[in-house]
Amino acid sequence: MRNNWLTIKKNQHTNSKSLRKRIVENRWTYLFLLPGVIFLLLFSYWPMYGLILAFKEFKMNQGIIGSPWADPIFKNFISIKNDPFFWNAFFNTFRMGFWYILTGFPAPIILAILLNELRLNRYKKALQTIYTFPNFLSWVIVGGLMFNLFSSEGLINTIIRMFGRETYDFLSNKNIIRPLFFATNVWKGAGWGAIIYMASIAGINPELYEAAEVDGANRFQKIIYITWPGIKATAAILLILDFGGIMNKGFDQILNMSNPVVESLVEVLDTYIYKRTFLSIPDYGFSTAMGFMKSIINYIFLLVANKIAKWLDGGAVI
Amino acid sequence: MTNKKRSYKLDSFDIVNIILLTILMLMVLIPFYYTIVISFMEQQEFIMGGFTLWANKPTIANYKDIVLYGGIGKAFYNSVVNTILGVCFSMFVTTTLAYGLSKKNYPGRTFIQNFVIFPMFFGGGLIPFFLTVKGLGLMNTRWAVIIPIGLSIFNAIILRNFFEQLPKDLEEAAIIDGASPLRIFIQIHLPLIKPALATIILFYAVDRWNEWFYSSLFLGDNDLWPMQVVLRQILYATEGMKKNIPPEARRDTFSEGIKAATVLLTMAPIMVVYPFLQKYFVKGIMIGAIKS
Repeated sequence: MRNNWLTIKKNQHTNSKSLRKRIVENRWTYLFLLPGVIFLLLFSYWPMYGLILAFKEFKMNQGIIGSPWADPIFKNFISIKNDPFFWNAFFNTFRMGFWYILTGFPAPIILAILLNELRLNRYKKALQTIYTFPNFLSWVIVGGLMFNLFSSEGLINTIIRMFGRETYDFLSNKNIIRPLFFATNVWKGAGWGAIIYMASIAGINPELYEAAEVDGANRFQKIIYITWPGIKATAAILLILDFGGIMNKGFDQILNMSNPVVESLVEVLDTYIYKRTFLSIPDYGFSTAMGFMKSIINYIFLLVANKIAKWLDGGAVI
Repeated sequence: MTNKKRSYKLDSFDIVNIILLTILMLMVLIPFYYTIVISFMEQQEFIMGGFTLWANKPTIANYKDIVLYGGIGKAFYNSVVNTILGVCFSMFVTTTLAYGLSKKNYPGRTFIQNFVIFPMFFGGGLIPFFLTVKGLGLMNTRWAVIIPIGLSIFNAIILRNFFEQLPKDLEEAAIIDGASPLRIFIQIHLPLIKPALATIILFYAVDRWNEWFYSSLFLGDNDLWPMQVVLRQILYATEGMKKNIPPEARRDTFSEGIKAATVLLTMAPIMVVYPFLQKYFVKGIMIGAIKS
């Protein structure tokens, strides 16, 4: 008994010594990690701690810690429950997100397949450069460009007027605004998204195409039986990850392309939280509570999506 | 599979495909083209509203107005400074973090890895973040749009993977030669992943140039506004700019033209740089894709 106790004590001793030694040996590693760790503590973990505001009555002069607890403690969440605008934004987040994915996901695949079938190599390169470019512009710029196209004085209405037809104000039309958002989102991102599929098509064994040719397959058959199976796995993983981020879609676009007439149709949680906090009389506790709810649901989505993607991919996803 | 047959005859599939892709190309180009046309137009012609392929009497008046009265010079300076400082800061934090993460066998490794990855999935949201930046006294300083948004964990993980793939023996040889870990990092390891660094730098640079949200949130002071915020201001409130114009010059400023000119000036740097650096961008999505 006593002996045992002694050996345990001894082991602990040697362990702690070697641990200290190992820490000292790796001191440079910790030094390299330090700036990043400090950054994350300040700008990721401290704001996470700030989520306790969701349960508080925020007073500007008392800060996050000093502000008193809400009474009852779920007061801010009860306000959320009774806020119809929140629920509009909440359900709209998923509705919009779903359509963003439904339109934004297939577009790059189709574009990549079409580009791959193009046999004029120089033209292909030029097209790729042009298609990918809009991805690198901010939504402020894209909003400006699209305004020139779709506003009541814009290019499309000018053409409509030329034919003597009645003009539309596309950007304030409740039936058109959502499809317009999804279309401009595709306009901006499809070319860039196609690159990843082009690369995965390039990785398909060319012998498959040659064998198919010998068998007399036409171009459509080659696309359906060789190209598509070759990129299917990539597509599945990207689709799953896309769904993981369903709550984070559209923020920049919505803030730059909507207007008061159509606002409620394209409101998502992120934009609603932003507007409630910074464009009206702020209630930080209430806003934080909304953010808290979003963060938790978003976390579950990301986690599940990542697990599925990892499973599909055999562990290559982070 | 396509290169082999240079003399390949175009079949009907090819022709339909070429037409389709060309239409798509035009759809990408037309918004740019039309914006360029408007930026050179006079108000008179725009109001007439006819469809034209080019301005009848091209003028640079819109560009002149925006440069003289729109405060675009200062905004351009701010954007350039924010981008340069931002990229420097981001690369410092990202490379050191990535390098540290690539090391093996240090106590607490699993904890640190999880500590770094967790914020990719969960965050405090906008309001606590805003209050943090405010609490640190960064509001209304340039640093507010350089430091708090400076680290992309995703980029750090990409670089970590590059560091992990470097051969071990180089480091061992350098240690025997008496080089310090800092020298090994700067003089041996960083140069070996130059192409990856170039791509990450480019991504950060585009991000910083395009940054508008936090700039409008954290910078109340007009003197600090970057191009994107000034552009937004002009797009949504041309009146805001008009009051800067002295009455004798107020004649016929053409707000649509000014908007168009500002859009083009704001995207100009990216447009100029993009064709030359496209291959680095493309490499970027590929290295990202391998691990995501």
